[in-house]
Amino acid sequence: MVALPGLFGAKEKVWIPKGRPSPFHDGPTNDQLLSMVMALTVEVSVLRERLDTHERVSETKGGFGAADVEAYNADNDANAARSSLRSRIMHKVFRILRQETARLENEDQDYDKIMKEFDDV
Amino acid sequence: MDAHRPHPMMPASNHDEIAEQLAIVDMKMFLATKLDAGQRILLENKVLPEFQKKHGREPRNHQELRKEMEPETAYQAYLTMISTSQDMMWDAVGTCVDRQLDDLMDLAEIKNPKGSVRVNPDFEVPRYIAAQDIHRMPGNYHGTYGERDVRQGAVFDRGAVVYQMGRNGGYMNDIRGHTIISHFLSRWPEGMPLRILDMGCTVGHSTLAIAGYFPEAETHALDVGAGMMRYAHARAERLNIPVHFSQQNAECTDFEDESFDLITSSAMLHETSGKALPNIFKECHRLLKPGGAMVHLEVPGRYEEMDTWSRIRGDYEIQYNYEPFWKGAITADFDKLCKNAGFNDIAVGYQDATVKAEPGNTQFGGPSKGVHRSWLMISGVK
Repeated sequence: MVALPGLFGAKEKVWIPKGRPSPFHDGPTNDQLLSMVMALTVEVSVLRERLDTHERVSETKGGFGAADVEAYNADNDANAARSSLRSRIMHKVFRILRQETARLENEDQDYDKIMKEFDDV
Repeated sequence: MDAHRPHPMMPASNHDEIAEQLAIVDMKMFLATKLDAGQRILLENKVLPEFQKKHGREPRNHQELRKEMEPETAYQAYLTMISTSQDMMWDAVGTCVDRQLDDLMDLAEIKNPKGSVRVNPDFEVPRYIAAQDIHRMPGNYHGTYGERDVRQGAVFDRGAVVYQMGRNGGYMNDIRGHTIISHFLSRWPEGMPLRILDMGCTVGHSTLAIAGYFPEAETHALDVGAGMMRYAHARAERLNIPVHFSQQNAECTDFEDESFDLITSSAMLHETSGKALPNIFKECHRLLKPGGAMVHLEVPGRYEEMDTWSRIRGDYEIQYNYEPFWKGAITADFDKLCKNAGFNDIAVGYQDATVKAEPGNTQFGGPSKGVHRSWLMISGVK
């Protein structure tokens, strides 16, 4: 079995460079977010490349190749299943934006009052 | 060449590790071209005109403009991304190395070596190296984690391929070594050194290229890390080129006077300090035989030739890529340093990068063709 990057059990250690931290933004949140997006971008690239390898290896072994994938026509069932997959991804990725507006809709509680309530107890 | 293990000592990378490394190379290339170009536009089309309007005068220096760049979100994002891509690179390579470190340490045990390796348990790492992790590489050049450890060498070997983005000779990373000899042979076409020393050799990227031109010569190489030297030795042996590696400080080596015919270094000087530079040149002079030659290679581009954006970008290298001597090296008066150390027949100028050095070539002395296409050469004779 081929070891996957990052999966090395007990040896795992977070290596950080010795040097001043990089205060590029007013707060660290944007830096952290951007760093996560970059890491995700690389992960997606790795996944995409793995798919490409699958097509190429399959073709050299007499199986299907990229052209077969291109020629594939999804039927109605497949299209419906894919549509729900896509919706699920949109929901996951943009959840945070919808949470912001959902709160505006439901904002009828006086939280300061609630805090006091518990404080009093 | 097999990307999984391009040479017999290099840490092996599996499918996804290679894909990860290549994605980071592409990301770094995207940052260095597309986003970098955007910063120049931001500076010239917005920040500079606003500065002129606000202050009614031209900026006195690039720092004044850098401060005005700092609140710009595009600039902030750019800085975050270049430092993050650097950290991602070392993390990708580091995890790849760590999962196979035991195997690499076994591979580094060489029976009947043709070269040798000497480490020094009492070695004092120079402050200009030890103060921060150069290039943000965790563990730096000298980190060593046990008596058989080779980690930093392995990380640097695989990492340099990603860092140089393939522009320094692919997996062998040896264009700078060829370029050093190209310079040597452009100045001394009949040159045939019998004893060679390569300073600041890291894993021996340039050393092996240099040694390859002079198979009759005895080649030595030094750097500051024990693990690095062990890896360099194993790499050279497995590539079948005998080299004698030792853990030493280029300012004060333990070689006898007049030990060498040729002394070289590849992009080492800018990782030292203003105090170290004269010591290194004096040490080269001490170690050379009369008539022997010194050839140092350095980053191309001198500070006085740089525009405002390049200087602002340079500040990033100094502060956040942990290259404290970056500016010192590109403003240093190398001609004077060579003279003060006692050298004659000094040349300081640009040599075209090459993968094959030819005697009597005329690729020295023109203007810089840019990063990785030209290198600054500093050479002289004792």
